[in-house]
Amino acid sequence: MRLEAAKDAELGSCARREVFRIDNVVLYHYHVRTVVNNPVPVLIVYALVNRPDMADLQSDRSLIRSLLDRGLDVYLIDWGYPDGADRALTLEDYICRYVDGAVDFVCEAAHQTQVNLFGICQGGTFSVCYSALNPTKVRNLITTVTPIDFHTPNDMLSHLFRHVDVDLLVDSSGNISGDMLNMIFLSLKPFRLAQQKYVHMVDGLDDLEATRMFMRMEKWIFDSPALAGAAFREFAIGFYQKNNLIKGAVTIGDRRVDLKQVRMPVLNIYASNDHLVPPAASLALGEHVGSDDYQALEFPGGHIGLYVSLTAHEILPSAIHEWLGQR
Amino acid sequence: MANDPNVWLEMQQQFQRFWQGLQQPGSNEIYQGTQDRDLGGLWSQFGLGSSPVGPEVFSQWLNKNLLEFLGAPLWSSPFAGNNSANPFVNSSWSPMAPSEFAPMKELPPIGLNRESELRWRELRDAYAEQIKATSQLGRRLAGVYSTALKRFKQTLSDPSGDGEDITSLRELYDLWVSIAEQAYAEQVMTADYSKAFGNCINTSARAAKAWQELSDEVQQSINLPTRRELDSVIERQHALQATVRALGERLDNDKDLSALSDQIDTLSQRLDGLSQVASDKSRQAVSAKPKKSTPPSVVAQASSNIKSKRSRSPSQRRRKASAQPAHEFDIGGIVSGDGQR
Repeated sequence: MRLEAAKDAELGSCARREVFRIDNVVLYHYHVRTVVNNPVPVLIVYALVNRPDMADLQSDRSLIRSLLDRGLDVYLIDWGYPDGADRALTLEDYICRYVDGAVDFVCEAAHQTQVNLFGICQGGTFSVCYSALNPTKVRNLITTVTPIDFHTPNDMLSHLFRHVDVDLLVDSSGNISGDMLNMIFLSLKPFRLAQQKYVHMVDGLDDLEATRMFMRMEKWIFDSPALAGAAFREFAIGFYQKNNLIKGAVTIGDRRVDLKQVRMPVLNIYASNDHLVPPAASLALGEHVGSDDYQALEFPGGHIGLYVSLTAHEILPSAIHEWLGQR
Repeated sequence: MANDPNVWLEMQQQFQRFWQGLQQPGSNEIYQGTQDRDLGGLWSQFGLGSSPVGPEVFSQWLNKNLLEFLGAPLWSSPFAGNNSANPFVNSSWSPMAPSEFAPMKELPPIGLNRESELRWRELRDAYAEQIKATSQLGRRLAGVYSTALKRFKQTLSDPSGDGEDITSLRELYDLWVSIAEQAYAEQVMTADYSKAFGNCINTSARAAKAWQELSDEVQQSINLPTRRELDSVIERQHALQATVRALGERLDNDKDLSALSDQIDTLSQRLDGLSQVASDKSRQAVSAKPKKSTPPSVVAQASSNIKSKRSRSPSQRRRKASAQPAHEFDIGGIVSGDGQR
């Protein structure tokens, strides 16, 4: 019965409006909740995997709400749901058109020349690439659970992908379906994620709010957009299989990504128990960027817990706000 | 078999009878009988006449498997989940059976249906590989279970182990999950597992691609767009969009040039006007004072203004060009157009 009552639990707690759109990609501007005390807007770049709703899951577990409450001006790029017509989209489209278009728009709207770029997971990797290609447009760079070195010893996802023929996979499937990605993510911890989680769910059924929270997470996890085939091909081969980012061998369009060009202040937040992006994979950023102002911040938790746990809710936004305020 | 041409001809005859029989009522009888009505003359010229046909093993194999194959649903793709309906699931499609027929399976197809035949063969081979790869991965996962069970038993039987504290079924289950997850992670992180996993994905992709190409063949035959055509259209559209964007940027720059050109025209007109004014004033003053030329400071400032606009960045030029009409152009501190300062 509790499960039935929780079935309509919606994601998202903050008011926002669409301010800019290119193709299926939408830029949202969140309504300010207090006096803005940092004139440089924060632009959140989410991963292509899953939906960005996780950054604003519910009112008491919302990274975005917490940032707004601290007086930051927040924008978010929503990649939408790529369809068959998007299968030719490349990383150049995502980084040099969509992210760059959003940055230009935000700068103009906020009467600023730079943004504070905030990357989440793969979106962090995109943000790093963008910052390397456009260092003058990024005031500060914040990365969270972001893979940089894809060949660290405990990287199970990278290990599984090592022998996959990505070209054949993309040629045969076009876009990579969300279901397939979910299957792979579940296969990283099959006993916990496909069994134990649901057994534990029963324990929380007496608590309606906990059940709603569970249902929101379920919705977020399995509401998985497909990945545009061409972009997936580039990312899987260039980043995961060849580990080209730290070798300085990634090219976006015809421009090489040189991490030494990331010269702005960098705050790199990682999770100590991250099974998707091991800490070492994130910490590699510090060894390769050209910034003199680099800071790493460890969060005690997992990949998703960084955004939705109550502990994170208390620690993360304050740390970000304070760090930005000092720069 | 390969050295005896008569055997080959017998096979062909049998095959021909089979297809002929399919077009007649009670077609199953064709395999039993020896009546060769329409093609008897043809076969007889090879010296075989209408005598009872070919090796029995081939005859039986052909009858059985072709009927099974034709009876299987076409939509039973490798990914449909119902493997029992797949035409290739029967072991007789494997390269091992029957031995007499094996050499023929590797002969390159010829004739009108050559390409189609190749696609079918690719699907057959890809699907066989997929089954093999899935099976290999399954064996490794089974190994995880057996390792996990072994450790689970050890833990429970070890009086000093974690099993000592178990007081509920839930705790027992959680212990099992913890041990199984650990065993699984160890297996996954081996090089062999990574290869087996990759092979499983790759063979599935190969089978999907083979199925897709067969589907394309069907789509094409009924004048429907194929996957290949759609991919081509999408890639062309993507390239066209990039071209349009590039042209748009060029157009923006051209607009800048156009606006600049308009501004120069306006400037020229103003200068002409100023020259006229200066000329008029000169004429008025000619009787009283020596002749004066156009004030150099005005011209210099106007030139300087043009120069500074040229030195702006393209984005600045774009914004400026759209925001400031030519009639508001500033000439040496004078806001023209409405005459205000």
